[in-house]
Amino acid sequence: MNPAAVRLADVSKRYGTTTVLDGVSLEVESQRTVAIVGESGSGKSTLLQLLNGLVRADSGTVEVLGEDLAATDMLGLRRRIGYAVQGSALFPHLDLRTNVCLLAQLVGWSAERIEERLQRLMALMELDPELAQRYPHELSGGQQQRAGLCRAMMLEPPLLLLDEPFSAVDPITRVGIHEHFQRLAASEPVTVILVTHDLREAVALSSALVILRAGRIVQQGSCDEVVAAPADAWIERLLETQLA
Amino acid sequence: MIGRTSKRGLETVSRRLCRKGIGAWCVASLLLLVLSASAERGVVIGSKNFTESYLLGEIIAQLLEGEGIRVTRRFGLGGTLICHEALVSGEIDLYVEYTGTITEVILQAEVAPRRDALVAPLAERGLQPLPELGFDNTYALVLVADRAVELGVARISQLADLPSLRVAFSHEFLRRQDGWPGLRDRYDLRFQPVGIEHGLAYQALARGSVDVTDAYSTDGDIERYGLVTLKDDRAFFPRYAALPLAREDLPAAAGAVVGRLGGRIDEERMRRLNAEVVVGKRSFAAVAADFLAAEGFAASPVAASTWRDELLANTIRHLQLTIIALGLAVLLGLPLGVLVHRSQRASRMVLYGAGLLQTIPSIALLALMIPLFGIGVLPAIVALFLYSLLPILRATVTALVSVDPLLRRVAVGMGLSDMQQVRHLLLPLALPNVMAGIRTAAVISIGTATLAAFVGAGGLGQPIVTGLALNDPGLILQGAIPAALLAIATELCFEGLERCLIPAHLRRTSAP
Repeated sequence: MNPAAVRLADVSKRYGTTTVLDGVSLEVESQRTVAIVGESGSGKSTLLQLLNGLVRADSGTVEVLGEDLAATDMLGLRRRIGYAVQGSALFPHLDLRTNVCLLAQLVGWSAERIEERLQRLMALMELDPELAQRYPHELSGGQQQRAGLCRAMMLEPPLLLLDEPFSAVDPITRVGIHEHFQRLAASEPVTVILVTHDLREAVALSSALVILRAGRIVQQGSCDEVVAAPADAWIERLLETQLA
Repeated sequence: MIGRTSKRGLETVSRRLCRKGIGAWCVASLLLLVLSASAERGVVIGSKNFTESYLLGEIIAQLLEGEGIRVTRRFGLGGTLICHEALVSGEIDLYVEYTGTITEVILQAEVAPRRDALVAPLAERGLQPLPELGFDNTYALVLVADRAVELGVARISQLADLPSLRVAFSHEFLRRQDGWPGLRDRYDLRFQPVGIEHGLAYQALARGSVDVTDAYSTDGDIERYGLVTLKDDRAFFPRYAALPLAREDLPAAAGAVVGRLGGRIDEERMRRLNAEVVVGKRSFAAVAADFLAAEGFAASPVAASTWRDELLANTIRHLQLTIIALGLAVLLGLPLGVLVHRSQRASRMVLYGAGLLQTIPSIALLALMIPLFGIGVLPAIVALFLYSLLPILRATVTALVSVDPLLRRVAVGMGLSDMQQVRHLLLPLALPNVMAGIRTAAVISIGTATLAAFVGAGGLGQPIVTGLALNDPGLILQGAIPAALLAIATELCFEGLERCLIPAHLRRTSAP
């Protein structure tokens, strides 16, 4: 078994009087793709943001890539974690190339190394090289989404966090991007944690599922396990409605 | 280099140039100003902003120059308090004041308005009265001769029976104890006067929209508009004998030269000299030179500066004032906006503060600067800077607050430091709005800087102030038109700047 890339122990988070996460414990093995599934308001996005320090846990411990988040240099750690979100959130004033390469330039990568990495990622994502000069608004939704993935993967991070990254594109484009994503995940030594409300997407892309409801993990295991033996009636209904 | 396209390269370069350019320009200009201020300035002669004061200032200046003494002219200062403040602080060395004004406004004491009585109390303030020039320019109430006949008035006391009279007084007269308040009590007057700029009062009088205004008894305008003065039959107005009021440290040689003017100008003479300027449309310099020649003083060659030279000098000074003030406002406003925008409370406090400054009328703000910064360029720059701050701050804060929170989250999540977020995400996205704010501030500054002449800072306000004093619309336009053109040119400049700094799809499509 690989060492854990992410380890959460009894983590809770409240906003005012609302408990968003309630005693969550979770381990994600290195180089696996795990999907966190739940309805909106289940706390899945908060859980993801705990991992790159955008949200701080009220209690419990969060360990990412072997570092305790309560006592680490967040900036350095964040640069080892790729982050992509719904709608890609490319910077509108920068062209595709600069969007993808910005951080590599800021941390001082050589021009050759940047160029090489950019070419490789764009090829993996089947982005035409001439798109590099375009501004985000000149790209299609699918192209933007793929460019967002390139940006997240630029620094060769060992961990990639995806917050509903494919939900803003139409179903046909989405299937295409799923393929691109799988190619990427297969060719890079990266642990992926994917947050989605779409069980079908989760099953298609990941090897393990974590099902979250009202801030608690109600079931986790491999996709096959979960599908074969739902832990309760609610999960069963979820599987029925979404996978039918 | 981040960018590879030539467009991006240009953007980065011009951005860098802008940043360095603005900083360098500010430092250089401030140095220049400090240097020019500390350069040999000789005897600095001030004047208030009305004809007679300009003219007497010019006469004294030429007289000194004729004796080979170096002179700097600081004419058109906006009123007694500004002149006095400038004199006490050493910004000017002398200006012509009136004995009545010295007792009523400056000393505010029961002193006889005669030179010999003033020596001691003025010495306590480090000032000295030079010999009286020979005329008494007292306040007078004036009306058009025909109207006076119509109303049947010749004495001030008769006005008490005419409560519906339309009366406009200069602002200073309305306030001064030896002006309207005292006059009203002495004569039991019941009409309600309105305030008016002195230079405009005569036009109002001639057009018949006003019946009575205050005047100085030596005004050239009295002849020009065919006015009559009402007799001060209860002897209310004190004596306003003109004399050069100087600092005690005025070099004795200069004091002696100026002293030679003592008793040379009587009321009739003064009124004629004023009329030569106001009615005859001759320059102060020419009238002063003729007077000195007629009195047998060494004539100094009148440097006939053309209107082109003056326009150029005024425009350059105007640009200096606005660009330095604007540059400083950008240098402070931008970082301050970045600093406070995260906290709603801090933003609101800073914006309220800057907004408060904006509500102070510009001329009042300038006046408030004088005790702190004296007169001249410095208080003007500080006032313009304070005025420019709000639009820049507000634009910066508003623009930063409206940056998409998802973009900010991603910027933090991907590992950009605070500074990098500002540099690579927040400022570029805020730039269109920030530029609009700077543009607004620039146009406001150019307009407001025309008032800087009241505190002796020069600029395109100089011909406007002089034009007001002379009641000369042509002169006023000599300042107003270039100022308006400057504002338009500024708009165009900023449009060009926006075009080269901001990618087309982020540019604001419409003008403000």
